[in-house]
Amino acid sequence: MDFQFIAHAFPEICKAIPITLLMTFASAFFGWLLGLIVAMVRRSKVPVLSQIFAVLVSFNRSVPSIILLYIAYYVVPAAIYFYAKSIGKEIDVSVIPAVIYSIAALTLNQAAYASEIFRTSIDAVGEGQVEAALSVGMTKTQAMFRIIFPQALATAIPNLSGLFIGLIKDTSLGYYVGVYEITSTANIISMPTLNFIEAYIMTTIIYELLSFLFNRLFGAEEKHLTRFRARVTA
Amino acid sequence: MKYMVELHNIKKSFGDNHVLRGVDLDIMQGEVVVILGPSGSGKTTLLRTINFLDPADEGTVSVGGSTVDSQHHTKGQMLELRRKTAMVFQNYNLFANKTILQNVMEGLVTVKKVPKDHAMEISKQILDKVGLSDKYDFYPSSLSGGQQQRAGIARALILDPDVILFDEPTSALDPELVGEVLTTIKNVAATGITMIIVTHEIAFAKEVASRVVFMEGGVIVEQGKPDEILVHPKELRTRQFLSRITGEHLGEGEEESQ
Repeated sequence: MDFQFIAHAFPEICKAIPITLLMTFASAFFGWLLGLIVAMVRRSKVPVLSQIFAVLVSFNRSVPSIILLYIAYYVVPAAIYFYAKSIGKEIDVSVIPAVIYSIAALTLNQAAYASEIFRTSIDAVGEGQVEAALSVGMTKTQAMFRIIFPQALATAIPNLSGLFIGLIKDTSLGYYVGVYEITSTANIISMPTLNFIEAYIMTTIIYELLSFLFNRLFGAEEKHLTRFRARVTA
Repeated sequence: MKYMVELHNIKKSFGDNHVLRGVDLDIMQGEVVVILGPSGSGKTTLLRTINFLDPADEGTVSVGGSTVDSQHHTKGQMLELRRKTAMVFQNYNLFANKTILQNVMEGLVTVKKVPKDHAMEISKQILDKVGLSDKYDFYPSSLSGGQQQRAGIARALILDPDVILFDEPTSALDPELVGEVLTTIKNVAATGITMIIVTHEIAFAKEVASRVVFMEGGVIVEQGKPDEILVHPKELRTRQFLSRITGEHLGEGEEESQ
């Protein structure tokens, strides 16, 4: 163990935590929002759009995240470039930072998985709940937001928690397109002296701590959201 | 004569199954109409066409002066109709994510835009009336079926609807809990509110109904005062149904004729 290296490298790797968290939060936020929209569209069986979403979700879930990332990183800028050129404009796509592509790829991936979680958990809320809401005169939207979503979220939260923890780890894919998040920072910093073992041990600890922390947060939220299932309340 | 509820030529099919084959029913203010009939006779479906939970394929529904065509109507008309009615469900269907007090308040606050403080106050009064004054902050999952159903009745009552629709309100209850719910419904009936009740409780029907409607095969077979229908039914089908359900002969010998 090269403790001198650890002392020097650990703070450097920790400096990459904000980027990892940014990628995580941004992808979860946009991905889950998109996932909810996809779930609602598929549930209400909007013609054409519903089928398109079904195919996209299936495609997204069948392709390794790294491939999605490569598509986002190599194909999308080229597409933008050539499109811009075709309408007579010159765009420098290299100014778009790699972290944006990473977030875009992770967002689509999150949306695919989250949409399935939302769809099944909304379906799990009994039809009787909607009928009761309509019978007191609520609109469908009111019924959704006041009665259905809160119950669906309680069902969804354990799965969302797992999805989120997986996402934290997936941000390490940013390494392949040059985003300086935790994993790539650890790699780069250990290259000159070849202290890979030390670097990976530190990386492991940081990911473990992050996962532990968010697991706890989700656990607390789950307890709060499922309080109505408890037998007796205060 | 002014009717509170008017159903005209209500027809409804699920696929090839013609559940309602043209039902007409006019109900005056303050009437308690009990609908009886074998399962599959369309009585629950009829109830659900009134508040458009299952819109009829054909026919018009009027409640409290608002007439809505089953086929051609706007969302606004449907909403208006729903806001003039309230429903008590077989499986209670209390909002699982809300406490008993919140369940009762929900319609007032969200739909009628009553200020929260006031809504809470009158919700508590209604809950006290149905004997749930010690359950305000309980979630439905921690209540017995009878308590949940009484909360369901409170949730319907608070909206001050033109008519309350009861869909087999005691069918899902343990036998020893049926009494408390029936008592609550009787108390509600005594307040003069218009009610339509689908039930299998014959004795209860006799006691609470101002009119009994017997349905079979998607049509009204006969209707009249509880005594007429339950004790001296004219129609064979009614008599057959009653003897099946009570397991005894009704109407002192008349049932043997025909």
